[in-house]
Amino acid sequence: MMASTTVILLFCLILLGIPVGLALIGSSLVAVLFFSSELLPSVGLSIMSTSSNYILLAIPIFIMAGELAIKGKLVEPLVELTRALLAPIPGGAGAATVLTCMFFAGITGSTAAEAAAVGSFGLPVLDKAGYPKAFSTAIIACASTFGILVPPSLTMILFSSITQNPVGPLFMAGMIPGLLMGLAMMVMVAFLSWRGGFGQPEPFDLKRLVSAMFSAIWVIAMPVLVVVGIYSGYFTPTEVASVVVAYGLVIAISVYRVITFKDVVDVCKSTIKLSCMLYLILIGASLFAFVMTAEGVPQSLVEMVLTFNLSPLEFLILLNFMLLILGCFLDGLSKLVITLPLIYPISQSLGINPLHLAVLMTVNIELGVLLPPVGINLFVLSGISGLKIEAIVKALVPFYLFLIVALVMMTYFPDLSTWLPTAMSHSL
Amino acid sequence: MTKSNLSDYPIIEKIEKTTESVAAFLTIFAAVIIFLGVILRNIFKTSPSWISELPTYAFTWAVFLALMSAFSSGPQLGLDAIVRMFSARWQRVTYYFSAFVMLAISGILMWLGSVLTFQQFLTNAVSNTALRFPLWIVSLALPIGFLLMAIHAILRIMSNPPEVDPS
Repeated sequence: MMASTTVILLFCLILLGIPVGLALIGSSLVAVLFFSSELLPSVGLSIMSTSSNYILLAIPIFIMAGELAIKGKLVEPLVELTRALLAPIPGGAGAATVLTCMFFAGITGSTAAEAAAVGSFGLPVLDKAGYPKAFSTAIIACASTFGILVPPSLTMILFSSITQNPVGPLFMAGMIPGLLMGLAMMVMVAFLSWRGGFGQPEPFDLKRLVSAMFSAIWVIAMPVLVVVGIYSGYFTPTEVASVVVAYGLVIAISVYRVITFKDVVDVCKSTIKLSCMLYLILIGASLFAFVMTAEGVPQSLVEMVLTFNLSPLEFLILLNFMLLILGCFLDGLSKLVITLPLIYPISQSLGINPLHLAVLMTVNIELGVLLPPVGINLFVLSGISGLKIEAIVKALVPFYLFLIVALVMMTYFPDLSTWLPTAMSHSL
Repeated sequence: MTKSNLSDYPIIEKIEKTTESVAAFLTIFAAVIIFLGVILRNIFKTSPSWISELPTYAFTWAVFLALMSAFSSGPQLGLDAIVRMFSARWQRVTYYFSAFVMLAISGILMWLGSVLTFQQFLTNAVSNTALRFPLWIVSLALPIGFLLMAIHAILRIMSNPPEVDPS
């Protein structure tokens, strides 16, 4: 009774426009107050343990790194480098934008930050190259979703915090899928641009390429720092976030000379405001999970699924459908924190590798950020491009198909997610 | 949709700006301490326990202090597509409903946070690390943060709802 009241109330509050964090907290509080008031004293402790979780501290600091990269205009040298590298091939300007997103994904870990950063600099470049606005907006909307698949993925940090799996292997699990999807999308965008006759190839200029490379090398070092730092064991994810912030600040001040003290203050303020809203969701999710666990819901769900005799693959296909539908109503983070505490025990009982589950859920979230009416990338890019959401959604159709194919591949081939972390753990 | 008319209440505006600045400072403080930990461990080969403890306390305070400004001018992570389909009158009703829900949640959490803080203060509860940090100082962020959120909710109830979207 307590669990069903919580779920019904949660969805009513969300549908009435209450921020998701508050809806989670409110519905859980009502359930505890009316059905199990002896649990009330634990609520405060549960909130404090979520807000003072050291692993979760990586989230605000990576958000700060992303905000710093935007304010420090660190995406500019990347745009120039990828253009110098790929613009000479037909459809190269579009593919270059995808490559920029892949590099930038290694700094931000958040799709909205990436869409905002690459959108601001990439859209005018594609405009100038003769790409239709809707198509170039769709390219950036889709390519910026890679931000949550490759390290430092905020989704993986959350997955780690909720399921208590180490974050290093989770980061690595997203690497191969992220790179493969990026490369496949570069080919697809180049093909679609060539077929549509968008953008003429530019002559190859070695001098421009070398100069762009020298200019961008400082920014490219950031994602390298994240991956090497974490996997060499030199830094924890939270530490590497602080190193990236320090490094980003140093290069923005001394190399690119674009950031002022006021910008740094603004970065801190926007970081804490976004982090505050995210933490409210995390606090709400921990209370929600607390209520569900107190009622034994995960255990009941496991028993129910086991009676259906589902194979792991059948379960994952069902899960994909469910997450896709939920993606139309909930933002990625909320979808993850609400469903994961319920899904994880079931997946464990079916013997599904947590790394495989993490990648699948992340690709689902990637699709979700592009789905109306709540897809955050749609809103960010609609604001930057001035296009209506409907126009962007229409241009996104081939990209939806692309992501669905990617999702099917990830579902059928768990090795894509599990091979690299397993191989790296053997080599250490 | 959620901007309060802060300029009508200069004291509240001042409180919001101050708490936002303190929260921003605590965030960068947490990042600096973590970075210092990296330097101390890798260069000076020492790793004091407070290095991982202090940033979490600082950030806890930052999150709760920022509650007011986050709701006032931060990103609103929620689903308002359904509400926008309502008539202007019902959009106003949901606006006030949302503010009352916010006030009720703030009130309950303020109370629970105060009880927790008071208990920890009375029992002299400290962290189980070498720092032995008094836990009530950390928990105090909870009632103060939700008090700020309650003030924001009251402000919303008192102010006129923003222009509704008739589409």
